[in-house]
Amino acid sequence: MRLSKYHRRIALLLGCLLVIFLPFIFKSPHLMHILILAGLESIVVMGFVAQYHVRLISFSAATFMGMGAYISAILATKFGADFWLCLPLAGLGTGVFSFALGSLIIRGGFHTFIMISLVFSEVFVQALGQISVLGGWDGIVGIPRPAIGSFVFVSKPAYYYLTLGLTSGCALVFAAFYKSAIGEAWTAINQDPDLAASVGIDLVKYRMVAYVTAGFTSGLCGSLYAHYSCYLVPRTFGIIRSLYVSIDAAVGGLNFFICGPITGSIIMRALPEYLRITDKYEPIFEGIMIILIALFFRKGVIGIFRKRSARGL
Amino acid sequence: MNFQLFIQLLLNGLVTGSIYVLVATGFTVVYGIARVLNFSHGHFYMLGAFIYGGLIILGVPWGVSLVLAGLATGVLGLIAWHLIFKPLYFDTFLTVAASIGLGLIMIQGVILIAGERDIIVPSVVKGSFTIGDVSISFEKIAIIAISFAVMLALYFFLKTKTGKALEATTIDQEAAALQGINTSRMFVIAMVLGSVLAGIAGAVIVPHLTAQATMGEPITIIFLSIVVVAGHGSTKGAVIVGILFGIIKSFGYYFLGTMDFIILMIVVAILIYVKPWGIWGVEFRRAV
Repeated sequence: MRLSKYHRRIALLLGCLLVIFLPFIFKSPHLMHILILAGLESIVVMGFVAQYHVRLISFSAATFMGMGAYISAILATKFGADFWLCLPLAGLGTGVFSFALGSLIIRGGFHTFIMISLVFSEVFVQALGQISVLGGWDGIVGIPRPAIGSFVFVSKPAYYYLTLGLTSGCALVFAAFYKSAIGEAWTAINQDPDLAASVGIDLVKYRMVAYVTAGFTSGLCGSLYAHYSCYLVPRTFGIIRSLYVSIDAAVGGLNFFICGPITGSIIMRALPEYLRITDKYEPIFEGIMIILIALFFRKGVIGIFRKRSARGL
Repeated sequence: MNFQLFIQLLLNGLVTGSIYVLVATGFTVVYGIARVLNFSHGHFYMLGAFIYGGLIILGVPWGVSLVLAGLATGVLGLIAWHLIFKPLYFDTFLTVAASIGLGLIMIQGVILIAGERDIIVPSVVKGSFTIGDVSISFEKIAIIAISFAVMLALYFFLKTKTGKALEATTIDQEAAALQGINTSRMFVIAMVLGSVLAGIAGAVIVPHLTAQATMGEPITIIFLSIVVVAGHGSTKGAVIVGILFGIIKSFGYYFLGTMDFIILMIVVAILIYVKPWGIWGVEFRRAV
């Protein structure tokens, strides 16, 4: 599909208008719910793709999301903090946490990183469940909804716009990173880590930047998730969620940093819902999906339509 | 703490540790030789437990059941290798994701066949004996003895010509290939060997626990941390660290209850901080 520059701009404008006015066109709350979850998940998936770009295959996605969600929930329920205060604090807290975790696990090399990120995502769930101050296995209930003045976010469209804002904000953050000098270094690492190290790119440092950025944005996402679902249980943030995140990334296409995650999350949230696959069979569906993707569509959905673009956004 | 309790806890630790050793060695063999991260390894352990349990409940003698469980998981490992790991060998991410996907399919498959409830597998070895005032059940001794025998068999297998070829492939794949070793055949052998070890571990421990479809998940966490702490591809390290972890877990469970897992993981975190490449690991100069 080759379009002229003019047509591309028209298509982009129409797309933006569609996204903005979607709640007025489709009034189904079910669709809104799927889109909100997909939008939130796409932030985490962007983080995963950024880490994949520096050759870190991470299973920390759910841990970061859970960290953000729990920080936000504890601040809101125990200290009565406002959502607009919880959101940045959750982001910062998760950023600091990801820095601590990253400095522990990034140095050990590629394979250690994969295994230990998986191990610590389970440790995180166990710790949440065991510590009774954090609600234990029953989780936290009664997380207040966000509000501006007297307007409380209750309806799905309201949350839709909130998610849209957060997702575009995080997408802009990632786009800015990819366009900056840091992004150039990331691409160098992606193409050949040995070569990148030999020209003086500090692998650990740049990997850490990608890891902490992913942590920060996923923390924000987790905070909004906590205030959207209004209750949290530790099991939500287990290994399986991280796996779903990586599957979303693979479905969208790992070479496309912004479009890929968004497309992948929407497809993978919507497909099970519309194929009427219940929770019980969802793991088996995801399992078959990833094996099919891995064997036959390695470039992901976007890769079918587009050859690898220069920037890959 | 009196002497009797100490011996009991030590024995429990050895039982748990010997299972950890079998599973972790299986993983480390596959990882060291084929450089494949098989995250469905823990579910091969689960399958071994279910196959053994099913055969025992059907009334098959325990020795035959044990061998059949090992063989069945080995064949499944072979199928998984040709279906998933071989086509995806070039890409670590796809291998990892597909192997976790395979694990999910295995769990759901077992739930569909055997149901969601736990299955109690009757113990074949009954009775106990006492030394002084310490009572020791034959079952625990049997678990430790079988694990030891399997590890001994693995040790002697690694001394044969094929074993030497496997070891050479672990050290350097390209150099091994240049010496005329068929490395892709070594990968297949490693995969089968690893799966058999996992299956036997599951079969050996299942009378002591109950068979659950999700029993592969906790052990996945344990064997991954054992492999990382011991160092990549180090069989000796996996044995020592595995037994150590079993003992730490046994004592931790007695004194701290369900916090034992957290304690174990704090130990892991400290060890990784001190030795990022593992205790017996060699620092790969390659950055990848």
